[in-house]
Amino acid sequence: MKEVILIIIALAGIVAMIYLGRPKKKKNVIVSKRTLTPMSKLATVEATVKTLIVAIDDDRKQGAVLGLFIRDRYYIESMTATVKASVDMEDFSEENIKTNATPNTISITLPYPKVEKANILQEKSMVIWKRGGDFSFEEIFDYRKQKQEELDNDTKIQQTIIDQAKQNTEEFFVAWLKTMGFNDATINFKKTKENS
Amino acid sequence: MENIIDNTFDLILLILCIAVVIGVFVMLIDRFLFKSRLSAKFHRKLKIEKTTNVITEIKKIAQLVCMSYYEEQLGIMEKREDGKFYFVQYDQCPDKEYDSLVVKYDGRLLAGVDLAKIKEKDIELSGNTLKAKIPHSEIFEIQINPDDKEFIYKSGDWGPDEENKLYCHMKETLVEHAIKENIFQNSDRIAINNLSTWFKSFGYEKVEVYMEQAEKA
Repeated sequence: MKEVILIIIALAGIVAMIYLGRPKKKKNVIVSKRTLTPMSKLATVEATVKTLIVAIDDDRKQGAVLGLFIRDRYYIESMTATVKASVDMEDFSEENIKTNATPNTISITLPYPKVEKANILQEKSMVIWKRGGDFSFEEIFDYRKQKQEELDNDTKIQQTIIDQAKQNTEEFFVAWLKTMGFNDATINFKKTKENS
Repeated sequence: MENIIDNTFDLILLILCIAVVIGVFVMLIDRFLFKSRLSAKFHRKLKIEKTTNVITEIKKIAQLVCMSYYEEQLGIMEKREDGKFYFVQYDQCPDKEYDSLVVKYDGRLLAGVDLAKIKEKDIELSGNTLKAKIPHSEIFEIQINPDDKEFIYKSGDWGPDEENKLYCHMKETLVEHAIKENIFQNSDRIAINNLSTWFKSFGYEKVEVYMEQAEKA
């Protein structure tokens, strides 16, 4: 009886070891997509944003049963990103322009500037501090994803960039239109539900 | 007495045996039936701490983005016997002999014309005719963001620094591929079209937009 039980345990152990020890199955990935898309966007501001990714895996603090045997893990990485704002000129047409011949002035209405998705410059990122064990690629990629989401939803940064974009766009068009022979130019931005 | 001890030992062994067999059974069911979703519930997803994002520089630009190139790429890197890293073509399988790292990158490249480079002398006016000389297209941005990356596979010891090398290599590859797909020629064409439309809508009857080096539209 004892021998049979021991054999079963040994077999189960072998199965578990094989299962846990084998490398994860490779995912099937089809990589072939390439697309070239025409667009018409005028970017008028580029901001450089610096930030930190701070991940603290503090199991003891979170009340893990085996907290005594689990070491805290810390991961701190500095990150640099650029954020641009642009005006989508796709729908810009004669309807958005009013000219006055006698004093030779022009008034144009542009779409409201939009903040583009932050461009994280990973080559400028640096791991500042790492302690308490290894961090898997999945974990590090996930921390960076979370930070990107945070950056893309940072309303303070977005507002600063939008204000600057409006000013720069206005300056750019006024200068251009004056070069084109107009005595004066007025720039307005279309109001939408999002920005009114 | 000896009999009781023997029986108790047998019972403990039997319970242990059943527990192990059930454990292995649950593990296999989780792996193959639920694709490890059960065990994943026990791994806590770590949330990063909230930190301040600081704008360190604001630049005034005037970039007319005319073309976007998008590509899904598979980045493969091998560590060979000589200790050096080698990048493997995405359509080849990594050699099983060497340690390898495979990451999927979705890259985007934006190209267009830098309108800030157009000077007053580049715009000629005569009556209702406007002639404008514009610079050739250039790359404004190469984006491979964290949400555009997916870890696929690794064998051996790889860290963030090595992944960074692969990431930089994939950025270079993205540029090479975009150039092969004629991004600059396409962008030049779109820029001429777009600017001609703008100038016409400003009231000029005859508009001629051409690239530097007398490449007239």
